[in-house]
Amino acid sequence: MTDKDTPKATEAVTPAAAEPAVIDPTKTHKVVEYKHERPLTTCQIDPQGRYVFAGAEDLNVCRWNLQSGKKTVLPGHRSWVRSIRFSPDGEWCFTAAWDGQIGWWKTAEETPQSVRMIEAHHGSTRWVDVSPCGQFLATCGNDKLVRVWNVADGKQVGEFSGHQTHPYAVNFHPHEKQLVSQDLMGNIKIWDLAGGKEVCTIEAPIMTGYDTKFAADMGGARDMQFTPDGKILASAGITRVVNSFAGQQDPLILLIDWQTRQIIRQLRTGSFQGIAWGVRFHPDGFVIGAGAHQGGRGELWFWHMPDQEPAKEEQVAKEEKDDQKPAPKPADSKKGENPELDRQPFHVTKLDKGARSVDISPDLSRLAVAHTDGFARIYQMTQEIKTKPAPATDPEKTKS
Amino acid sequence: MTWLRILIGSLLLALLSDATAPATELHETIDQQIRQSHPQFLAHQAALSTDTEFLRRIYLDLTGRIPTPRETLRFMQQGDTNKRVQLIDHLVKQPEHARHLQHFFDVMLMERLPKKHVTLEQWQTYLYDSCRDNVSWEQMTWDILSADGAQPATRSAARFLLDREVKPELVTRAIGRVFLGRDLQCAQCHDHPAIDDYPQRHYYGLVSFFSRAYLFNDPKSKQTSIGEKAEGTTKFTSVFTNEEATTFPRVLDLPVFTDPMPDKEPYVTKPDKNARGVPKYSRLEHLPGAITHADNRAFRLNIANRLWHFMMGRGFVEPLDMFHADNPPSHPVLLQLIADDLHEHQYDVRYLLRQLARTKVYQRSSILKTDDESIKLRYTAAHIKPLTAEQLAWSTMLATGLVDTTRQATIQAFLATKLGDGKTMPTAPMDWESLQLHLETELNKALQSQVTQFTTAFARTDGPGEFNATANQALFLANSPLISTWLRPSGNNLVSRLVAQPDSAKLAAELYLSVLSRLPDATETARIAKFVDAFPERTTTIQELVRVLLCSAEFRFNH
Amino acid sequence: MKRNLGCNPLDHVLSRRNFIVGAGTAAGFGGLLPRTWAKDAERNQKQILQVYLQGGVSQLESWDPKPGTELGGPFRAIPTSVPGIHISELLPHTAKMMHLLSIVRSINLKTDDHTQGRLFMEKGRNVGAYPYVGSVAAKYLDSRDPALPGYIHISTRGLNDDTTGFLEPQYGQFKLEGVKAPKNLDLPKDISRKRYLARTDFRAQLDQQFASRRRKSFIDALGSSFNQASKLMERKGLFEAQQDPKDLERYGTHDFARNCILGRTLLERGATCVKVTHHGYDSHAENFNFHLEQLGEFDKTFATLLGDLEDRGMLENTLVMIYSEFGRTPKINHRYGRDHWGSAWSIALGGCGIQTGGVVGKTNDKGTEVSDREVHGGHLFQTYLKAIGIDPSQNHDIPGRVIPIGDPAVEPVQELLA
Repeated sequence: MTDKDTPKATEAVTPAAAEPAVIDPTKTHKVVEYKHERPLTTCQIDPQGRYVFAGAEDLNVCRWNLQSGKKTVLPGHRSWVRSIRFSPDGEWCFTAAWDGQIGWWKTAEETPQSVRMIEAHHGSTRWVDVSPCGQFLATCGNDKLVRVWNVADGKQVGEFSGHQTHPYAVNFHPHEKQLVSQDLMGNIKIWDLAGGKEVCTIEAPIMTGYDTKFAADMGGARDMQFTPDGKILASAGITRVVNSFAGQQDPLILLIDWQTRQIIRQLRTGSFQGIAWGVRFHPDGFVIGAGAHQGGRGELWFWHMPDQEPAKEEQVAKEEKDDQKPAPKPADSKKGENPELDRQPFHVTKLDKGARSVDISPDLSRLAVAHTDGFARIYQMTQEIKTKPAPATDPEKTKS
Repeated sequence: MTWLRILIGSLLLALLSDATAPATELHETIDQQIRQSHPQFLAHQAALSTDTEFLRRIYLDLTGRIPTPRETLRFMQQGDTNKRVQLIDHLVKQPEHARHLQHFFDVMLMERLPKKHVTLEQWQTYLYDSCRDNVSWEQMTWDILSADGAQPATRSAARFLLDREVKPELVTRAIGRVFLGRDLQCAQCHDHPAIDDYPQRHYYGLVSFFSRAYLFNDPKSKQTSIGEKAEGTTKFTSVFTNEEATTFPRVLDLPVFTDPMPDKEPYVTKPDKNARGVPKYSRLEHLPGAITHADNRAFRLNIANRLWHFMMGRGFVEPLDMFHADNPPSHPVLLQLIADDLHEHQYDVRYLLRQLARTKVYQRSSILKTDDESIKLRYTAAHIKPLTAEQLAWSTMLATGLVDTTRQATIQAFLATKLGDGKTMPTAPMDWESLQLHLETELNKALQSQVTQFTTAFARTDGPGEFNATANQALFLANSPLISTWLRPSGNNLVSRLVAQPDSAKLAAELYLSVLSRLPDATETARIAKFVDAFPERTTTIQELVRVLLCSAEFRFNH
Repeated sequence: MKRNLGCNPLDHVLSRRNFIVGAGTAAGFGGLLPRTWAKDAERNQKQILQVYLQGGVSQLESWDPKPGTELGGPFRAIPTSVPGIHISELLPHTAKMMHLLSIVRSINLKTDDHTQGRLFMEKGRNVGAYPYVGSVAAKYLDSRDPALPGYIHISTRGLNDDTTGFLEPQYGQFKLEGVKAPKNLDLPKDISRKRYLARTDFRAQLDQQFASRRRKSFIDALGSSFNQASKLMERKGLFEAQQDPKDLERYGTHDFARNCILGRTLLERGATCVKVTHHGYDSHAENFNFHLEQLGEFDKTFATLLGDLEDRGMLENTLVMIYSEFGRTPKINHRYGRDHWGSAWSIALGGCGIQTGGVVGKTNDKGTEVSDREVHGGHLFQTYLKAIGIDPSQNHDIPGRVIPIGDPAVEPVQELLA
């Protein structure tokens, strides 16, 4: 490990030090950042909370030890990695890249080499997810297919076709034997794993836009996530395209009731124009979003879960008090916009640089964010405690 | 700057000129300036237009149509040396003048956008009434940029903002082009790559006036109007440099309108789903004043250039929405003089049009005296102007007799309402002026659908530009069923009259007077006779004859 | 944007040429040339297909990929039907047709402006009111079907450029709004062809008289529009025919596909130059997703079109151009976008007169500059014309004027010419 790999610690605490346990998103603050030479595309914290892995605009996967800050670069892919997931026990890491491949890695190996690389799709593989039992992987790719793979031997065990446009993300349901994937035109398809067939399509045109100036469609899930009980699906992306070739559109996160297949919330981001790149559910009853502004900065957004929302009047008063104001735009009923479902965040953490991905630590107190400036930053959602700076680490002593 | 040197030189030339007695009226100043703009001007200037040339031109420019045969003959027969001035003064008082200006302002302001929240009728009535009452351009600007659509009395004028849904990318470009002579579209994402005078801050300075505005849909009345919030900043980022900046409202590089300190209660009416937001401090409210401010020279220069183009066929600055240092006016001193004069006359459009019509520049023939391309551009001869879609429609309908027929019908209908059915009391009498206005309005309504077919075929939707004749337009004139119906002999329309005229010389005269607003010469008369004799079916032949003239360049252009 | 102050830059060209000629230097022919040179049998009935990718297609996502490099982006390169030539994975169908094309990878226009780039690529000059290559072709190439406009542009949107410069108006582009047939193609009832011709003659006489000693450009434009109208009427069937479902299946059913089918039909019927525009490529944000979509639409359709031209034996006489107004920056911005880049980018050419299966020019490893055989719009313009048998070193056939067809300061790219 070289000097440049030494993480920059803030005045707060080193990552290993304990923080008060009260989760309060309004206190979200950066605690450490890890540098990579190229902009990051995605990040994930392993289920044991040891590492944060990140994909970047190069051929590497980066791994930072959250205790020591040590960086390890994992070469092996031939293009950008855009999606990373772990086995439930955290021992295995799976990566999906634009080279069409998915990679198998031992999470905690000193210098992990890919144990297996398979061509998962013709063209880019956009996404990988791991089944709740850890035995299967699901991927989607630019061949418009959704595929299922055996973790043990890398063999394909299922394939679903039906997307007419490129699917951007795919997720396993936490309990039901189903997959969900969403494509460029906002179509969310539910697949039955046992029967190998499409169950239904939920249309979400609100998450798409046709740029009339440039004659191009924009859309697609930039992240998808289920609540642990599987009752709600979140999809992060865009809406209200103005000039998508200049990045002028609004971020949007949809919450969909799994049982009724209805959109139950349209999570908005005030006047912020850009893309919602990440979404996570926090068991304390809020939804976390992360996004990048067309101008280069970023934001973390925190919304109440539907069953945790304050009374309407309180909500409106809060919105007016805070900087986040509803974007004064008329609802587009043709796209299924329903102003009644709009919600603004109860808190926003401003970020200097755009956020392209967010993940929650296993102890639920921290967020890892992949940034456009090549940094993976860890944010603590608790009260900031000012302590003496940790002693500077001697790079020579931490060299491997 | 090069054009500044030209300006100073021209000013000195003007001051030292010993040409004539000092100019008093604007039209004389204009003629003097144009004459002095080039050392060989006098040697190259075209002759004055003939009476029929002038007549057709002034009718088209001031009323939007060609003269009738009767109007042409009467004018030709008048001996008064002052008849042209009298005609100008007469025409600007006609309802048709207001209608023609309505079309001009409509296209300029709304670029033929389809209706969204304000009906075309409401908007066009607002424009027509304003033109009829000679409301100043400055007042119209105030009306248009201050209307929020919430008050019935001013809702019509709100179309400019409302039907662009106060979308920044639409409103800013429109304001820049229409009121300032600058197309700032390319400065939305970055400083204009080719025009130094169009930086991104100019674009967002304008955006900032209405960035807090939004469309409010009243759930009870279902009407859309413009609300405004009391907060919000205008930030912008260049896609080339990624530099972020903020701005307050401002017009070009004039002083900013900084927000006052926030009030504890910033609203007169707080915005919610049932109420249109009305803040105590409104950025939008400052927009009309900022645009029309005396220090904003772009405002007066732009309208002066546009009205000059309206009459002369070529602006001092071309394209009309490209004022910048690398595109200087052809006559910078004169443009400034006209602009300042218009400002001093409180932006009285009728005044300026009268002055322009009285100039020799305007009244010169379009027949060139010289082949020198460089001289041609400097108004030695009148520019040929393509007829607008509306001018073409009305002139075609008038030439073929449809206007006359329809006018008769509207008069009959009017008399029927006035005289009653013999059982009910007649309505109150109307003065002559009101009667004229009423009949013109009814005539316009009656023929609107016909005009729309022309605007569909001929109107450019991509903004003003050079004449671009398309094969589709030619096909319309040559083959469209619409024109064919006007050429069917009916009543006393043109084809009927011509079919009934056995004398070929009189036939040619009637034809030319009706369509081309002049009498034919001997060669033309002979050509007509030959054409008529070439085919057996006389009616069809005469229909073709009329069609040929309607397709001719002499008809298609204002010359 | 420079305003014409009344002194036409061409006048300076005229003066300069006269000076050069008058000074007795070996500057080639000056003065008028008889029109016979325009009737060279080799150049007769050559045609052009232009496929314009509007907005600036990324060379790194098309013709000059640099996978695995810092700025190469996420897409890979794939082999093509020409060993040693690789293009982006986004063009798998075109890759199979690479033996019918050549790539120029070393274009530097020295401008990043849409309009300036477009005009330079179309006119071969970066200043001045010169005609587009399509208008030049329309004027100097004999068409197999004079009833068709010489230069037809099929696009469902976009600009109405004046493409003639100083050429006669009938050589301007005739714009078709996609595959919509022009209205009013039928003569009125009771009007026979004989009557129509009589009407046309009479109108021409009237206009000739009116035009005498008046500014001509508007009058000529009007006359040209009627002439074009007449021609379209003669070809009514062409525009009203339904597209063959088998073609739609092969090309696709999106606008670009339909426009390409119509373009092929017009070329088959003998149109001199057909331009089909595909929108849009100006991806300052989400460059990769947008190129995936746009080139996905372009690739199969274009490859099918190229294949059809080959199958019909038309490539021998039809120059094929696939071009933009510039490329896109190697640097990827924070929006996953690429910005304007006129400094080191690519186009592809094929068909008539082109040495196919090759690559001309190179960029450096990162694509940040041209490293070999730099060319610009002027070189390319001359190359197109040479390929179809027009000598760009000759002067335009304009009475009283001496204007070289191509920029005399440059030459064609000889390596591209067969």
